Amino acid sequence: MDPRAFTEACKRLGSGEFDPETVEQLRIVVEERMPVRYAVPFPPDVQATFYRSGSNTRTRRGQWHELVQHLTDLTYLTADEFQQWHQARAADLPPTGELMDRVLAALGAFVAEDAFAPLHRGCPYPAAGRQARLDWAEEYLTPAVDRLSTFTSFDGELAVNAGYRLGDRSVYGRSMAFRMYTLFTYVYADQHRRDVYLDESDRPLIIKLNRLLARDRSGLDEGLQGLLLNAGALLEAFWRARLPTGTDGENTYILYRITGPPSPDSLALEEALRTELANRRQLRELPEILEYTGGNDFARRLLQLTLWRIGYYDGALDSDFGPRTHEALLRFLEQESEGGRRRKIAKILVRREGEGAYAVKLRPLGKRLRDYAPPDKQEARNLEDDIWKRIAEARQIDTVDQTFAERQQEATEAYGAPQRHPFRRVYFAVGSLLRAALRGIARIIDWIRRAVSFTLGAIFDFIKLVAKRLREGVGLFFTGMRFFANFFLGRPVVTPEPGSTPVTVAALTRFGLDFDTVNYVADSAGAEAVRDHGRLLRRLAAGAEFFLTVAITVVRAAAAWGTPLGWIHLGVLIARWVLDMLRSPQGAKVSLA
Amino acid sequence: MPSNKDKNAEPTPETYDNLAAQPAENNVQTYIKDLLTLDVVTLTGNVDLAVTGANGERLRLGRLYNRIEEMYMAEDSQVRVLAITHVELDKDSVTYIKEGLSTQDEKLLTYHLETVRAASEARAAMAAGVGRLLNLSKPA
Repeated sequence: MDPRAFTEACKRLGSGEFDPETVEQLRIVVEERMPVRYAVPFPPDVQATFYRSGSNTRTRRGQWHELVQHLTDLTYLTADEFQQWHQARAADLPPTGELMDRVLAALGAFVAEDAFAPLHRGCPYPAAGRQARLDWAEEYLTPAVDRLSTFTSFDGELAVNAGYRLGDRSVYGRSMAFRMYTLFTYVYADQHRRDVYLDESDRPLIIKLNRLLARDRSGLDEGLQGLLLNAGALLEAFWRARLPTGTDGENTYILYRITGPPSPDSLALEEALRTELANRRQLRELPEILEYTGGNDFARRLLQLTLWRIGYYDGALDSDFGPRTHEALLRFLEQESEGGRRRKIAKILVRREGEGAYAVKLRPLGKRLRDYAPPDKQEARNLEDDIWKRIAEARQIDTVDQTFAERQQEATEAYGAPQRHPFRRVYFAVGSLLRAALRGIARIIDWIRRAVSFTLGAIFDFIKLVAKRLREGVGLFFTGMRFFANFFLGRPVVTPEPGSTPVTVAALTRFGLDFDTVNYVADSAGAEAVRDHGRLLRRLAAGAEFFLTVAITVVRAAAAWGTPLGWIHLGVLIARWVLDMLRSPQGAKVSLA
Repeated sequence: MPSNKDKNAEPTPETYDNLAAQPAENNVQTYIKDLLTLDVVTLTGNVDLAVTGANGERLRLGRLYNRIEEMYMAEDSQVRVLAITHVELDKDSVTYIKEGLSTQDEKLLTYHLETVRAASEARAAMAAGVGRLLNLSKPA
């Protein structure tokens, strides 16, 4: 059974064919085929997510990891808790109950601080109870992670808050603090001491940032907020600010010095790029930005941030331009030198006299990086379609599903080993990844056809892009389909008797197609089971509007779509439909009317 | 005999009219007309219903319901009706309750009424959703 079976069933449902055969076809595809293909359990089940080793729930676990990273960056969790989470992950163990409680409390604190409609329209976040909170988290994981990701994204996904003032205690205030600390003091000895929100004590940093960008301001006004939200625009503003008036800015450099011997990969890349020693003219120009000024430090951090966003750098953002960042820069330049641009690219990086000393010419580098600026929504959609079109043109559509399933794990190390390095982060926003992936599409296609090994850069971007899309779309769609099955396809809602072996039914409710409803309660059912079943029905009713909208949105869109190009392409499309619904004004209201 | 009336969870009658005006070439009309009324029945009894098979595999849940239905229809049925509620759109609901409720039964009655409310709310969402599902002319 291939993805066409899914779209065919959706088309039939969409034309009003609610017959058992159609229902059964949809059930088999969604409940049996997709969970295996996408490594997302159906139905969402906490125990299945964390207790089963192997790859069949990998995607769902990935969404929890993303949640924990966002909650940490916004200081709902500490760096210690982040590290503990990843230590458990690395040991293939579930998080401890105590740690899970802290994560769930952090999630509750976020939900309380943010008014994002999809998180508040259905069942409210439970005031207490691990299991009740886990049930909520499993159902609302996608909208929660999607919303959180906008607060940590540097792709300009969050709108400027004109009403924001220093000292505001809101999730937006946390987001502003995260950005300032990322740009100036991200690595700190004890995260407990990091300010959660910005206040007047942070004014000197804000003044410094304004000066670095040559802005005649001293506050965190809307313009500066906009730059903090969009690293592409920030880099552009910095680049323009550093251009000496009346010149073309050719003589502006970022300087760095790496310690220790260069890695074999670095040497090979330098050889390929034919990096040259700075000539006399360049040596004269170099001091124009002194190596130890704040400007140079800020520039190095901004370069790290950019290389991280486009998939070439996986270390901490600390302005410490060590071998890892150096290699990331070399890989980026190597990718850019494809297509006959090698000579131009080679001039961007020059070696200085002395061991491990380099200078990066800011202007041409800025031009290259400008091509990676996050796209707007429509352009992002076009880029994504272009990627799949190029894969289809290369006749690799039939192999991409299998290759991805088998080779996805090659990127494991590139995720930065956060169990050992609690300040390394994965960049999750997809806009920059799309651009980087499309620019390196030839390399990606070679990877799909198994002609090249995994490398950071475009291949890593492609893997992250696909994994992220599957996480975003499929989990929420599955939850929607669970509601759809209960309320439309006749699947009973069942509460088992606690501790029974074999597991027996304590209470069962079946909503018929005409909504005539049958409850059954076993004579032997305990009060706890009956209470749990009532709670489950209330939760289903509270979430019905939202989750049925999710399921119906996807079924409708799939019915209107042509044939998807394989399973992964279908997963990408489902993510698009789900996110469109979540982020549209109509979807945010979750109105079915 | 208790009754209640809750219009808040209901779509307007026009919603159903619009939906029922769909072409009769499929079973949508029947479905929508069926949504105009809602019956909730709560059964109690002693039916052996295992969720897992002999090897621990999960059984198809739909079969559990079929088994209850079979047992209810059997002559020596051990399945009893505790309460039935009939709801008509925009009208009062009517609930039948068996006589001589035990303390346990009284608790189950509360649960029954909660189910009626849940079914009403979900029906409202579903009716509107089906309308949206069938409106394929607009891009998703």
